[in-house]
Amino acid sequence: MSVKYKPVVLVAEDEPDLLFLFQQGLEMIGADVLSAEDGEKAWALFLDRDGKIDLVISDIFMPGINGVQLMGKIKSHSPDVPVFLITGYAHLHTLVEESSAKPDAYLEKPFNLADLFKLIKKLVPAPLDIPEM
Amino acid sequence: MREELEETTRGTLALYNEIDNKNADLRRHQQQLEQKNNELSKALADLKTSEAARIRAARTAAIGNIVVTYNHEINNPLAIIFGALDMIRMKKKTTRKEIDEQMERIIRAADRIHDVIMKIKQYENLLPKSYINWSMLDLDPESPPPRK
Repeated sequence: MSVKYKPVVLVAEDEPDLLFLFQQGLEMIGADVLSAEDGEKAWALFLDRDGKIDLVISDIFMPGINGVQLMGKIKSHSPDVPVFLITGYAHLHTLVEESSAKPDAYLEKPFNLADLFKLIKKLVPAPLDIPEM
Repeated sequence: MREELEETTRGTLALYNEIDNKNADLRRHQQQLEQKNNELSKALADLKTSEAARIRAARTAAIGNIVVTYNHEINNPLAIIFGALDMIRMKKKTTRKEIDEQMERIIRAADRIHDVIMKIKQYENLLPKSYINWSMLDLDPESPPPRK
């Protein structure tokens, strides 16, 4: 019997309730989730896996390494790993313009899960069980 | 008689010279006064400009603080509220316990938004009186589409 491949998604978010919801939502659609409450922990988890991660979702404003810095580190290590940035600030474009690395997708808070899943589906080639809304 | 006339003429000429000198002094003083007046007018205008710039900077900083607070402290809990509601709607099987847990998250997030609004109200009270007549900020100038 073949085992269905579960894409590995690394999530960095400093809001505990939101991090938990990311984890729940991503597991619901069939992803294997690595959760990090800040940029440093996310970077450590990324290195633990030697960059073998299918998608990184990161908040921008976190203590320590912020989301844009985390994206820069990840893109330097593994340029093919897609990075998806999320922020509550309206000036995401300005922040990203200042960075040499660019995100593969971004979303502004507040968002709905359907929009989040649609973007994830575009970035992750593995089949995901996304429910109809 | 001639000597008297010459004496009077000399005296008159001396008087004219003195008057000319006094007139020149007066003109000089008048010019100095005009220059001082111009300098004072310019200083007053500069003061008004810098005061206007200071008020503009304070106003911009206050708006900036409100916008940053709004973006971070309201959008984050809103994302939690929408996420928890979406999870209840999307999950095929949800137990009563799971719904209660999501409701707890929603209530915590709603409380945070309430706290932020109360804090912004307090901040409003700290603004100087001259700011009270501001127009209300239009935080939603291009009404985004309603959330699905």
